[in-house]
Amino acid sequence: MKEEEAKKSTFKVSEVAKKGYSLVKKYLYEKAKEDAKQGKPVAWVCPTVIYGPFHMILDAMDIVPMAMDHFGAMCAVKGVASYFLDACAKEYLSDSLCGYMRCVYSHAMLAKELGEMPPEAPLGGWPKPTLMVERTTYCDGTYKVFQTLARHYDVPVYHVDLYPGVYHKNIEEYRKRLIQYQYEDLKNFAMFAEKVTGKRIDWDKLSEMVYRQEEIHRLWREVDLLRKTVPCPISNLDLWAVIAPGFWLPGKEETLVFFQNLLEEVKTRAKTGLGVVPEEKYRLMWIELPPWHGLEMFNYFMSKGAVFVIESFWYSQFLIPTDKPDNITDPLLRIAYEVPTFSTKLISMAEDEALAWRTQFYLYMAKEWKVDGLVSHPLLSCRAPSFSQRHAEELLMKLYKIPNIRIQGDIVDKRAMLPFDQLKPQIDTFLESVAYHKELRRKEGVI
Amino acid sequence: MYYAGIDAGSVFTKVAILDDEGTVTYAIRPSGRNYQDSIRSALNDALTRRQTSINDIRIFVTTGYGASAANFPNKYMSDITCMAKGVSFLFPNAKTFVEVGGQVSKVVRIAHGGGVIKFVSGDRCAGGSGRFLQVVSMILNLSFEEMCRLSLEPGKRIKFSTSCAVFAETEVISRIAEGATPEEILAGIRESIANRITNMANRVNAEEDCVVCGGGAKDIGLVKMVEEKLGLNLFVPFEPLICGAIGAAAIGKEICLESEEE
Amino acid sequence: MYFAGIDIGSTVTKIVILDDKESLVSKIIRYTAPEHRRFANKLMEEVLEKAELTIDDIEAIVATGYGRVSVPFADKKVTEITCHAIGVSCIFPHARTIIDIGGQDSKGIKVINGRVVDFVMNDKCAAGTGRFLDVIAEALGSSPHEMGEYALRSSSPVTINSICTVFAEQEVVSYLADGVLMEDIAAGIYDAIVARIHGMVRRIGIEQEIIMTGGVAKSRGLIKTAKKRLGRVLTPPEPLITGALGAAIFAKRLFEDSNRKGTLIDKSKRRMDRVTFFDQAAR
Repeated sequence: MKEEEAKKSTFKVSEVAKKGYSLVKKYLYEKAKEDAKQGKPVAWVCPTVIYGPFHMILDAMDIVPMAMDHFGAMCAVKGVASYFLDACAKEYLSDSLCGYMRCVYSHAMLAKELGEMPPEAPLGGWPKPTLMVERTTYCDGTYKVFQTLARHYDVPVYHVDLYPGVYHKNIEEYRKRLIQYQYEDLKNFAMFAEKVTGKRIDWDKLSEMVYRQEEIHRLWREVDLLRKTVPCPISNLDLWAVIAPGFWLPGKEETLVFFQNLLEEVKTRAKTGLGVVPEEKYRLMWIELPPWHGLEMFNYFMSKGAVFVIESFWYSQFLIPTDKPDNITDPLLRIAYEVPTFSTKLISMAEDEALAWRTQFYLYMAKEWKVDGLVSHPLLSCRAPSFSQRHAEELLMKLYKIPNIRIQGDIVDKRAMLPFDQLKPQIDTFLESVAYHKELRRKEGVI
Repeated sequence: MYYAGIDAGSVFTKVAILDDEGTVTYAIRPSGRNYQDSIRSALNDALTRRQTSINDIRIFVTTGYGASAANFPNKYMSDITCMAKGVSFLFPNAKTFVEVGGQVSKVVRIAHGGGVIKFVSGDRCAGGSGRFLQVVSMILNLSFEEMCRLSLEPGKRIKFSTSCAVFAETEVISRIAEGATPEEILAGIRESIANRITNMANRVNAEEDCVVCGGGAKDIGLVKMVEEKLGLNLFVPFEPLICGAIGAAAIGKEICLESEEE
Repeated sequence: MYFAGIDIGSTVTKIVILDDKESLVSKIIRYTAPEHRRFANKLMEEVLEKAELTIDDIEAIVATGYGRVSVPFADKKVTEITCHAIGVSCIFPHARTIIDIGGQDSKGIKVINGRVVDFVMNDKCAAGTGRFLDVIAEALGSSPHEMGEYALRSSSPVTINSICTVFAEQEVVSYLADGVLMEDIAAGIYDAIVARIHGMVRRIGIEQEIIMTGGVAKSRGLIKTAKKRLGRVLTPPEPLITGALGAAIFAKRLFEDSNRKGTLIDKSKRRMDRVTFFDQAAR
């Protein structure tokens, strides 16, 4: 450990990304609580969708949007999650139920008992909701927990049907249908929010935000693309810190400035050849969300010269479509374009295997970002996105000779992961295997 | 020129000396409490057998639990990497190997040439490791060698209700009281370990040629049982303990040859 | 009117005889190796003799514990989880969480008003059971009781990294060889076992009052360590007999129930002969 601590000072941390936290703290929590005190309606949103459509729509209606998944992750980062998970265990909630949701749920229950937010709540917790927004796909845990919480607070909950799409032969036709469906659903959602709060959408504001968010995503994508540079100019830890403002403060002026600065910084680094670690030996890919409770693990990787250059596609931004027709001016329709285009783009990359579209994408990333090794992280309490991992592992080995290690874990629950001292020898072996295969690929002329 | 590999495991310290022709000389010592002593004595032993001196060794590669005790310049590699290299040195066609070690069992898929493709490592539980056999041989009052010779023919197997080495101890005693023979008891214990190994092997899609090494590989009864459960033919090295040390030496040789090329 | 409860654990057999006011008439606690479980009849005779009763004086007999199947004179067999819950709730009416560390298993039981709401159990692995402490105490050349007293004096417990009993024993031996103080090793061992049990019981949610039972609860060292982790922990005056006590109370309720229904307990079915393994197999 001493050695790592000494090396830690040599890692290049992004100065801009550091500021993302204060931005989130200020707007997502402090300002939100102030606004709620002044009587503005509050909406709980979970899980967040790439591009943050609900946050923008709610913001344009002068409703305060809260991000419940961010709160769950915060519990883990601050090391208080196990306290809340234990409280959930008392209520007989299963360990495989979404970790974020369990944190939120136990807060609500404890707040009921204490009459205020429990003192352990990170960033002081959140105000009570006026309405709730939930997405029906992927996150099975949210669906039920939000129903329960809605009953608990006696507020209405809207289940958005964000359909990610499946494999389809006629992809263009299919995309059009999905967009139309999405558009209808967003309109219904806006109507629902108007009815509950009596507020109206400020269309000018929404339009402005949507265009700004598109610009933010363009910048974000640039940053992700710059990570192809050898040595990699920005670490995965910084990129994960960037998720917060990018997802939960969409379309805001401050967010735009934040991303402009970030891109500037990364560009300079890439130009001057400044890498995350002094000597970049291995470039790794990470599949799935990080273990928010144990981010120190990545310092160990970095102390061995291993840098994560790319993560799971669905929170990496380079896929966000840029080919949106200019003549579409309805902001809701512009939003409706995002998710279906994103998912159908993925699907169209899979040539004929219906199930393989996720895997196909990992293959693409491994090639483009010059990846030497894959670390997959199956999540105990978030199973839906974890399902393509084994396929990806096998194909990457078979086609590109990229070795992998599977680290069982969870987004929030520390107990799902092996203690670090037992994990360390496994990581050592993995990195040696990465070195061997890198050499092998070099000899065979693959890289 | 010689290349030395040192594998300081939890039970035995193994030293292998490799020369340019690929001849291996080795020595094995119980690790005891002081790894420094066991490494020194095993190394001296191997050097004497090879009739050479420490000055002729070009590189030392260390691995295993007590590797940090080596107080001379050396390169550390993790045990799975070394063992993979060693297995592939002895069996060039090997695709999988099973290591039944003193504390942990592992199943590893390897590429041609000894690169690690995928590995599964068991929990640190005596019930899944070679230690289980040791515990049982002690109750049966057999030396490890005597035990290994027992019950090669699968006859009646006692089913054990537990896979915990500590609880099995009690169960073995009461089964002896009921009149079970040591052969039947051993068959039951071996089955219990083999089941655990098979579970791990299925997770890495074990394939032939499959090698079994580590102390547990000396128990031919266990190897047969694993063979039966896995449905694969298993190869056992002439000395299953030293795969890691040979691999470490082979890695050392590679490092030296590479630096020469440059 | 008398009622008997017999609890045949993996390590210790306990028998309790109560009168109709639920006060203790007689009890017996005796170590039983697993293969001696079939001598339950001998122990029953002994305790009856002590109380100057005959088997026919006992209105109802309930057997519980790991070896309850080998009690041919019992009128009913009840799981130890139920009996522990009843027995503990009789002593501590406000009990919510019972942590029972037996010789070969450990369990956590959640009770509300004497009724079992939930439970977890480990009988697969020696870690976290009394057996763990026995093995370690032997390695230390001490007894579990002595080890508990040692642990009270420690100020800097060692860390035991292994979960597996076999490897923990190895660790302890190497600490001894390093000249680490016995009390620090003992305290480290209690830290390890309490951490293990806490990890298991946490699954059912730990609530006050917490009652610790089983032979291990007699150790002051363990209780001290448990208090550090769990807060308030209570133990009954005799932590071993809560299961047998619960069984005896169950017997009384059984008797009252059958009286109400008019179906009397058939005492002639009781067999006081020795059980052999063949009997068990046939059953």
